[in-house]
Amino acid sequence: MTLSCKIKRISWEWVINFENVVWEFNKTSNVPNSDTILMRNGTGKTTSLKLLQRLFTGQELSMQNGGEDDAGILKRCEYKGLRAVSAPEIDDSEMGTPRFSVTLDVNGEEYTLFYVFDEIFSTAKIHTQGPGEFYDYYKMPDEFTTAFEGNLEFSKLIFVDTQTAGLGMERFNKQVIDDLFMSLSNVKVLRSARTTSIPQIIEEVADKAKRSGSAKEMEAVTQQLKVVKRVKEKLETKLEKANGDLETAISDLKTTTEKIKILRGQSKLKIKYDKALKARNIAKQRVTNSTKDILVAIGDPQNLPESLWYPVKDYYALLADQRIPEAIAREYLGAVIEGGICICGEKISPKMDKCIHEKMEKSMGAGVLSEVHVLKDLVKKATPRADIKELKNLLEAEIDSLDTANTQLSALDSQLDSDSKDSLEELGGLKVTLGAQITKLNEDILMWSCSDDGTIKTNKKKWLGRSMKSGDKPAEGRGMIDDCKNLYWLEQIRKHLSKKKAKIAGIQALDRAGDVISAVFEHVEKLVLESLQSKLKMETDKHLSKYNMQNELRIHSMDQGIKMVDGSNRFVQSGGSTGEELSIIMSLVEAISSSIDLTVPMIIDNPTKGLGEDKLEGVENSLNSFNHQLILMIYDTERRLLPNYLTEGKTDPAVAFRESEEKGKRSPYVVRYGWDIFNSYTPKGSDRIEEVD
Amino acid sequence: MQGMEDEIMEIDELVEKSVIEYCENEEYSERLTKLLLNLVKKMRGNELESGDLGDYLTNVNSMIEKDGLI
Repeated sequence: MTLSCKIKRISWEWVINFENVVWEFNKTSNVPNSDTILMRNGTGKTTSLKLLQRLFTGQELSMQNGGEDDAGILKRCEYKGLRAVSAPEIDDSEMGTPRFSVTLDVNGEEYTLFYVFDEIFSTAKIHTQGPGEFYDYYKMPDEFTTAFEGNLEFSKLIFVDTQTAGLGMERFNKQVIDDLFMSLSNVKVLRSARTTSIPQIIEEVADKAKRSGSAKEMEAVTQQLKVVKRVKEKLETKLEKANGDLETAISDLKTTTEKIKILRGQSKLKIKYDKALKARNIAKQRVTNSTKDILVAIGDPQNLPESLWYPVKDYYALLADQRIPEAIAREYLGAVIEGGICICGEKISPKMDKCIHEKMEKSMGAGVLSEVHVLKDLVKKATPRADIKELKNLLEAEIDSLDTANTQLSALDSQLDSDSKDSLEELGGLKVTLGAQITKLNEDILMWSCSDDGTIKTNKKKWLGRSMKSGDKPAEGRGMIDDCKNLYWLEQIRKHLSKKKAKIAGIQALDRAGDVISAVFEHVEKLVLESLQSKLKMETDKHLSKYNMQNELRIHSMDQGIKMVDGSNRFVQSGGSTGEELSIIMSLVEAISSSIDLTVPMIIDNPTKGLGEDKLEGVENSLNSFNHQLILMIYDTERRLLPNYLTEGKTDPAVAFRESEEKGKRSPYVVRYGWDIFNSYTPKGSDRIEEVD
Repeated sequence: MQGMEDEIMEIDELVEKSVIEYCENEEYSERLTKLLLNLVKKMRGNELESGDLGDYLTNVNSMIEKDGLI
């Protein structure tokens, strides 16, 4: 697949806050791959980003969908602009048709994707203007649809809302990454065929077939399959909602944390807060490091208690002394030579005899055997490396220090004036609630979507209930199926029941044909996925090396989502800071481009939002190192935070604003390009405008 | 440039290779392998019409019967 895709233009017509505004990429300069749009806070940057994410994937919006965020996005899209506040400048009759569009260069041809909203913003339909034709639906070239159609996670990956970055790297979990790779390689369609279309066809044939079993049996299994279908729909809906809720909760948590930071930073106690926060961060880092150390120590068998370790050591010492594998091999080959016939059946000639003797001399102890010998020697000499009790005491002391640092922060909070104190208490409470909500959502998502056999069985009581019978067999009773809360296990139940139904219907042969096709498809999916994981891991790492990652973070693996490992190759982690997460996304996008010839744009909304100064440098480095089309959407105060990126020669700036913001006399939104307006534009009053949430 | 092209992963080739590899391991006949290859290709190319998948199932069914796989 070859796809080269660039954004040429974005247009807003009577949506969010805009009247009729067009922004064009590379309008005024020749910086080939980078533009920055400045809009004051609350104008509609994040809403625009969400529209782009969905427009690329062909997802129409409807209040009725109940899908992720549809209602929220449509609500935010409703035009407020000059009709808002107490003195509206225009009335409804002056408004045009609400539309949002993006014009793209796709493999050298121009396509425009439109969202056309109805009058009450309850739906947004997609239209497409191709190079020669107009379609009142989503119609993009195959290379584009293969990558994007129905692939919201990919869109979210490259059109980054930093509100959801840096907190657990949910965007890199197994489901997202596997789906992404399978979509990019166009094998997701095989999975859908083997899990949905093929079973459906077989069931339809079974319904019509001449039965070999009884009508009662047939009715029972048909009803059981209906329950499976119902439970599957229920779990999928819950999963989709939970993913949406999780994104919202992560974003809310980040906003809340930022508000707490601002509230503390604006108080008279700022200096004391800075000091206390610094102490708390140091204590937190120590707890993290000691936790990692204790984990590594526990994982090293040399540190096992003597009662457990010494029998193992004795056994290996005995092996090392007696070199049993070598002795057995010698004995075996000796017997072969003595018998005079090789394993292949050929008579052993003097030349072969000599050769085997040479091999016995040289090879015994080489290869696998030598590894066994090394292992035996290592175990024989092994001595405890760490005192786990001591590490535990250290960790406990560091947790105490962290508690003290948190108490000091709380003491400062209590010295604030009553209004600030109330706000802080409220925000603190909200933070705890959101934290608990995120934990619960992650647990639920894992329960519904986990496909790891071991994990599922470990949690079978809660996740599967009565739907797993003794001997780990799928249950058949309708009430029992209802207990199932895991989609992977539900699929096993469905397979089992389908087989039973095929047997009753006397169509086992067709069912077997379905198995043959499904097995081939599954093999292709697995192989392609593994190849992509391996290739993209290597390529992403190569690109990642140019980003300035903390602790020399590198990709550890991609088969369980993206896991990172630090420079010492000891600590695997799945989370990262916002800067690190941006670097990983950029490296992955570059790796995809260099590995499977797919070049796509990236947009980053509010790249610095909520970041401390220590993290800004990382983000700036990441932006500077990215080689593909990159569009930043920033608000006023972000300008000064990226001085080495937001500068001539690095990016082309533009500002979307109202030239007059005086109430009752506000002018329509316009876009102006160039450094003069970018540097001089100052929003009146607060950076956040009033009319948009 | 040539070097760069070599770096690009040929997914279509990989898919074809993996179908053949699987069929060889399962000792499927050449015609069954061809049928499955064709199905995978059409599936990925979005070239299947309504009812085509059912026809493929029937064809695979009769072929595995003829090949003595059931």
